[in-house]
Parts: sequence; C-alpha cells; structure tokens
Amino acid sequence: MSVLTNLIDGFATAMTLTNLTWMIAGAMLGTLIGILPGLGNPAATLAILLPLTLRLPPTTGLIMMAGIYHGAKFAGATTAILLNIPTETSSVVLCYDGHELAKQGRAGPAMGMSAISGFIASTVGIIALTFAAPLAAQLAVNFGPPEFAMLMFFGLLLVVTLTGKSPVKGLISMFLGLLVSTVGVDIFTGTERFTFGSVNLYDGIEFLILTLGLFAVGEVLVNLEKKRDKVEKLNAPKRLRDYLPNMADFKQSRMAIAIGSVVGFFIGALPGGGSTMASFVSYAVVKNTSPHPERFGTGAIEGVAGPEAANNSEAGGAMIPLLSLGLPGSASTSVMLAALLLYGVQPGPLLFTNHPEIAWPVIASLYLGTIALLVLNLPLIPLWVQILRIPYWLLYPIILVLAVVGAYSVRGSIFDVYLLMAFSITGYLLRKIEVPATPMLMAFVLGPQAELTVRQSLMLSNNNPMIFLERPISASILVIALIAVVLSTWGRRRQRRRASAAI
Amino acid sequence: MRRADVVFGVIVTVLGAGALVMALYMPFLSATTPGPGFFPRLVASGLVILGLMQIRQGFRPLAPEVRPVGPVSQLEKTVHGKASPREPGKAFLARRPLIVLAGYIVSVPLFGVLGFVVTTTILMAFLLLYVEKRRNLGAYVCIVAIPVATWLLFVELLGMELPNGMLHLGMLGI
Repeated sequence: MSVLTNLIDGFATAMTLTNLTWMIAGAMLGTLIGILPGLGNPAATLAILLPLTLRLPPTTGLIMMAGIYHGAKFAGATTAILLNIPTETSSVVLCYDGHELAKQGRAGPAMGMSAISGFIASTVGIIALTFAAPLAAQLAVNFGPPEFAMLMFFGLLLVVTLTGKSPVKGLISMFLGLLVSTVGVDIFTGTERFTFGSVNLYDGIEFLILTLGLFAVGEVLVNLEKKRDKVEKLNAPKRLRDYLPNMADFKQSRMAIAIGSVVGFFIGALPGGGSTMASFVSYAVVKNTSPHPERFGTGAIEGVAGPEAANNSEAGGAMIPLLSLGLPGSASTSVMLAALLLYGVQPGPLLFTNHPEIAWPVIASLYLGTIALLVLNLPLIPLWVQILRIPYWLLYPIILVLAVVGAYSVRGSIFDVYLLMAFSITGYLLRKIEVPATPMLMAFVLGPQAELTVRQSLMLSNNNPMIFLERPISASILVIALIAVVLSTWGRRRQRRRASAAI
Repeated sequence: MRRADVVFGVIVTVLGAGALVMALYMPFLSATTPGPGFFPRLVASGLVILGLMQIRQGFRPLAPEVRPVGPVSQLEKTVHGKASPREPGKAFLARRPLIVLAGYIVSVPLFGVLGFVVTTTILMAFLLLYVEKRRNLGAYVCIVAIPVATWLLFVELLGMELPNGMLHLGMLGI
C-alpha cells in the first residue's frame, strides 16, 4: 500500500495552485507550438520550452513539462486529423482514419475521441504504473537486442496486415522505407551508404522531410486533381453537437480503447519501446480483432481511439524504464531525462527512495496533464476545426509554405527542401498507382532500430541467427508475429473468396 | 495488362538492382560482426524480388477488392473489384498538380537567392493569381500577409532560421 500512499502524496504535491497553473500553461504552450511544422513533435516542443521550465523549482518544472508533453501530443493528433500532416511519428497512424473522418465532416468527433480515449488510457496507464511497475520493470530488463530485434520484426510484419488491396505493393512500400532508412553513415563502421558522396546525406534523411513530402504535399497534389468547385473546402461540422463523439462512437471504440491502453502500457514499459511502436501495434491489433476490419482506413472511429489510447498509456509505461532504470524510451523521454539531470536528479533504482518528492508528483502530473487537456482542449475543438473552413485555394498554398518551413527548419539546409520536393513527387506518384505510403514511413521509422538490434544480436552470437529462436522471449514474439500474419492472410483470402462469390 | 503496375514493377526492380550493386561494394559479414552491407543487401534483394512479383501481377487480371485499409487513393474507381474504365482522353497525370509542382520546385533555388519572404510571396502570387485565378483583394492581401506572418512567427518569435537570401547580405543595397 506504500506505493498507493506515495502516489496520493504525489497528487497532493502536484495539485497546488502554482503547479496546476504551470501545468495548464504547459499544456496550452505545448498545443500551440506542437501544431507548427518542424516543432510539432513533443521532443522538439519540450526542448524549445526546456529553458523556461528550468527557471522553475524542480517539481514545478517537471510538472510543466508533463503538461507540454501532453499538449504537443494532442497537437500532433490535431494536425494529422485535420490536415493529414503527422508532426510526430506516433501520429502517422491517425492519418488512416482520423483524416478520413475529417473529410466526412467528422473532424470534431475524431479529435474528441482522441482526447477522451487518451484520458481513459492515461487512467489505465497510471493505475498499471502504480501496481504493476515492479513486474513490468522486471520483464523490461529481460529485453536484450534479440528480443528488440524480434519486436521490430513484429512491427514490420504488421505492416503487411496494414496494406491495402495489394500486399505486394504494401511490401514494396515497406522495403522502400527500409532502403531510405539506410542512407547515411553506418554507425558501426563509419562506412558511407547511398550518400553518393554528398555531405548532406551523411546524417541520413529526417523523418519530418519524408512525412511532409509523402503525406502533406502528396495529399495536396492529389486533391488538386479534383475540379476546383469540388475541393473548395473540407467538410466542417455544422451543429455544436457534431463536434463531439456520440454514444455510437463510444460503443464502437470501447474495445479499441481497452486494447490500446494495455498494448500501449506494455510497449511503453520496454526500454526503447516508444509511442510510435505502441500506436502502430495498437492499430494493427484493433483492426485484426475487429469484426469489421474493412472499415479501417475509410473513417473508422476506433482507428483513432485505439492508437491514441496506446499513445497515452505508453506515457505511463515509459516512466518505468525512465525513472527506474534511467533509460529513455523515446526522444521525448530523453528530453525529460535531460531535465532531470539538469535538476541534479539521477534517475535509477534509488530515485523512488531518494527523491520521492520528485518521482511521484511527476507520475501524478502525467495523469493531471491529460485532465488539463480534456478541460482545455475539448471546448477548443470547434476552434481548431475552423481550420477546415479555410477555402482550399488558400489552405493548400499555406500547407506548401509550411512544408518548406518544416523541411528547412530541421537542419537549416536548402538541400532538405530539395529532398522534400523529391518525396512529394514520390508520394504523389505512389498514390496515383495505389501504393500505400504508410508502410514506407513506418519502415523508415523502425528500420534503423531493426538493423541495429539485428546486428547487435548477431554480434552477440558470432553471426549465428539461431539466437533469435534460442531465447524464449524473442522466440515467443516471433511466433506471435507469424500467427498474426497467418491470421491476417487467412482473413484476406476468406474475404476475397466471399467477394468473388458475390459477383 | 495494367501498364502503370508493370512500369512501377520495372522501376522497383531497377532501383533494387541498382541498390544491390552499390551494396555489393559494402562488406556483408566480417568474422564476428555483420558489416555495413548486411542490411542494404537484404533490403535491395527484397526490392528486386518484389519488383518482379509486381510486374507479374501487372499482367494478371485484377482480383476482387478486399479490405481497402490504409490511405487508399481517392482516385481509385472500382466496380466489384474491377477497375472502372478510365475516362476517355484523361491523362495519367493531371495538369493542375503538375503546374503547382513545377512552380514549387522552381521556387527552391530562389530561396537561397531572394530569401524566404520574397520567394514565398512570388510562390503565393503564382499559386493564387495564375493557378487559382483569384484576383480579388483577399488574395492580394494573403500573397503578402502569409509570407510576412510566417517569417514573424518562426524567425522573430520562435527564433528559428529561414533562408535570408542574398538580399540580406546587402547585394542590392538593402
């Protein structure tokens, strides 16, 4: 019960007027900065506002960071749903159904569901963190390179289940993403790979450039094919009640929220798990367990609820490796780790013993951050949705300009703007020939870590690939991944047979 | 035969083969560690195989549509899983996106010369006046206001860098 007492003490510390004020300010600033391209991912937003938080006392500063973190995450969902621009990797999956819902005039319910499912999942996350932290930490430390390699393999195999009509096209998209992810200097040996001698490619290609080109500009170019009067503006809700999810939406999403909450927490608890993996795996599991998987990708509300639930409960899980092992699971938690170190607090097994006045209020504030989001941003959804009321002839030039700003801001290089153009053309052509761009982006995100962990594993075993089967956890993940693919393929074949019979 | 699918398969095969040739120059395995060519060779080989499979699929009749998951192209038109006949005389690539793309690409080198504000103003003018044929007061205001507002927000307020161009260096005495 001491854990529960500590958590209650943490809430008591976090819920002072000063702390709550800074947390709300953090959530607002995080949302405002988070919707801007180039600054949109929570890590960048946290990094920008870090100097501000460091002026505050440690507990207040860290509580404000929790507010910023949640604000930036919500902003990522906002731009993905409204404009099809995922400013962070974990928001990519929201483009599938969130943006489709926005096109159908249901942007408000999609955003509302994003905030509400996030709140529910955070509640699950905080409860799980309180009671299951020792168990999860024990499981997490048993994860070595082979287990992570299999987890990445699992993630990449799930891409197969996310592809559209043609698995071959989905796989091509995935392999293109993997190929793009290998560009740059090899971190093991320093060898140049596919750089063509250009210094600009030594550090590889940035996520934001790929995502802006494939999604934002690619979407604009496809929309421009329509006649002018047909794309004057995207649909915005007309009545106030249309801005929030209805009971039917909640009914459809309850399983997705439950699945997303559990999946997100456990992936977050893995050192290096990260919210991207959590949201993608959650989407795949929700889709594959749904009685109507064919609705996904066409505007299914549970396609928003599941990943957003995972994205938020992951934040609770991510605190386990961060606070108990000092291992950040994502870029955002890396910035939080930096903040802790700057405050002179060393995360590790002794943090909860030596600095309970910091550890528990931070955990409490992560939960309070989602409440702040719900209170602040839910009423503001009608305001955000007004973006859709901007006529398309004005909206698309703004998107194009912001894409340039985003691409240039990454490294201050015109070369990156040229890369943006190249990926924009690629994104447009891929859509023309019905190749889904999402597997490419997902493979690009997971590729480097997949390569790293596979190579580390083979180094450990003197190049013997049996290491992946000899270790029980990695073998189990491999078996689960193969079962998921077999089930998905079987379901696809069954549906094809039904479709053939119906003609 | 679906020509676009076959052409796509050929492009993927050629790209994969090119990447494979480059990857062959990178060490694959050393005594105890996988080399830098390990992953690229696997990926490039996969692309070649998938490209060939795509070419083969391009020659086969379309199967019934199942599970349109992910961002399926908005342009897709299918009737019971079979592609609907293309509108007569309709080109594979439409004119309007190509014009926008051309203007967008041409603007990139100008950022380094004219700077962000001037280049973006020209780009906005091109898009609103030429492509969209909007010649009203609102359009003229947007052409100037959006680049300036973007500059103020990102550079002045948030301290980010955007291209200054040569004008900033005083080449034209500005």
